[in-house]
Amino acid sequence: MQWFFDMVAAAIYAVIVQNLVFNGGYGITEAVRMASKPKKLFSTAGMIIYFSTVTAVICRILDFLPQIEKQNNTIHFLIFFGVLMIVYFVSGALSLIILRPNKRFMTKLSMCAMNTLVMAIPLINHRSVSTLGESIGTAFGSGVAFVVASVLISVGFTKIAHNKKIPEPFRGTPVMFIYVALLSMAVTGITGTGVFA
Amino acid sequence: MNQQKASLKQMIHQGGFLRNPVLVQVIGICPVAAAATSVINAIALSTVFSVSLILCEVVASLLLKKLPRWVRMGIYSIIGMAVVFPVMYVFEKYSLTVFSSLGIYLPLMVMNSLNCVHCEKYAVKNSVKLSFFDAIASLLGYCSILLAVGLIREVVGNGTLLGFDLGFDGIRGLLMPFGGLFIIGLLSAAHKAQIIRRHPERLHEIETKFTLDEADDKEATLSYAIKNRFKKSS
Repeated sequence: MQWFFDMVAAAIYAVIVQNLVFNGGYGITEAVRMASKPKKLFSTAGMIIYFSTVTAVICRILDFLPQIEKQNNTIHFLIFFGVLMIVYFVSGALSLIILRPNKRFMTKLSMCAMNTLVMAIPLINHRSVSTLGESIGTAFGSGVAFVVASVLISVGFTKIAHNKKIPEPFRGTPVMFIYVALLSMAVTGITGTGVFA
Repeated sequence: MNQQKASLKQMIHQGGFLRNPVLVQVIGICPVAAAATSVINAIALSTVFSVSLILCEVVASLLLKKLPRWVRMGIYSIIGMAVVFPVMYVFEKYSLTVFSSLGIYLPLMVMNSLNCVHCEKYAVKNSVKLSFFDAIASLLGYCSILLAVGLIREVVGNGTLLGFDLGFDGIRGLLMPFGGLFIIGLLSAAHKAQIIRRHPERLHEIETKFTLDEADDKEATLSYAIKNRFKKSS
C-alpha cells in the first residue's frame, strides 16, 4: 500500500509544487504551442503522459538492476534514451497496425515522444533516487502539470492579446514570453526558493 | 558563385534574423531558458547543438527523404544522441564543473525541437547544400540568442563574467528558468522593434506559426487562433 501513497503524493507534488514546465522549463515549447490549440491539448497531454509514464517505469525498474545501478550518469542517460526510443518505435508501429491513423496523428505522436519533458523525468527520478511508486507519480503528475501550464498560458494570453495598452514591439510573442516568465516566477515562489536572495 | 553567396546571405537574414528560431518561431526554448546561465554553458550548448543540427540536416537531406515522418523523427534524436553522448562522456570524466552546471540539460539537447522542425520543414524537401545553409542560418540565430541570454544572466544574475567577479551581487532569480524567459521576452521585443523600424513591410512574416508542416494546418498562427477563439466566445 505504501507504493500507492508514494505515487499519489509524488503526483500531487509534481502538479502543484514541482511543475516541471514552469520550474525547469521542460517541454515549454510544446506547452506554448498547445496554448494556441486548446482543442488538441488533451490528446497531446495524453500522449505525453503515456510516454513519460511508460518510459519512467521501465527506466526505474532497470535502475534497480545492480549492473546498471553502478554505471555513471552518462551511461544511465544512454540506457534511458534507448528505452524511450524502443517505447516510441514500438508504440508507433502498434498505432499503425491497430489504429491506422493519419499522418497528422503520427506527427503528433512523434512531437510528444521527442519532448524534453518526457526525457527529463527518468533522469530526474534517477537523480532523486525515487521509489517505483514515486517515479510513476512524478511521470503522471508531470503530464498533468503540462496541461495546467498550457491552460494557464492559453487563458492568460487570450486576454493579453487584446490589451491595446501594450506597446507595439511587445505585442504577440514578446508579451507571451514575459507572461510565461511571470507564471514561472509564481510557481517558483510556491517551492519556497528565494528569487532575489 | 555570386548567386550562392546571395542565397546564403538571404537565408541567414531570413532564418537567423527575420524568423529567428527562438524569438519568432518559439522553438528550442528549454535549453535557452533553463541552461544558458553563463557564457561557458552557452558556448558548450551551442557547440554541441551546432554539430548535432548540421549532421541531422545533412543526413536527413541525403538519406531520409523516403522514410515516413514518424520514423525520421526518431532518427534525428538518435543522430543527436551520437553527438551528445561522447561530449557527455568527456565532460563527466574531465570537466565535472561544466557537466554539473549543465545538469540534465546537456543530454536533453538530443530532444531539441529545433532539430525536428528544421529537418522536417526544410532538409527533407531540399538539396544537401541548401539544407546545410539552412542549418548554418538557424544556428547563427539560435546560438546568438543562447550566447546573449548566457551573457546577460551571468553578468546581471551572478555578478561575474567568464567566472571573474565583477564586484556586485547579481539578481539570483535571473538564473532560474523564469529569468531566462523574461530575458528572451525582452530580446524578442527588441527584435520586433528592429523589424518595425527597418523592415515594416515584413512585419507579417514574424507572426509565429506553431505547426510542423504549415500546409497541414493553415489556421495555426497564434494570433489567428486567439482571434478565432475571441470571436467564438463573444
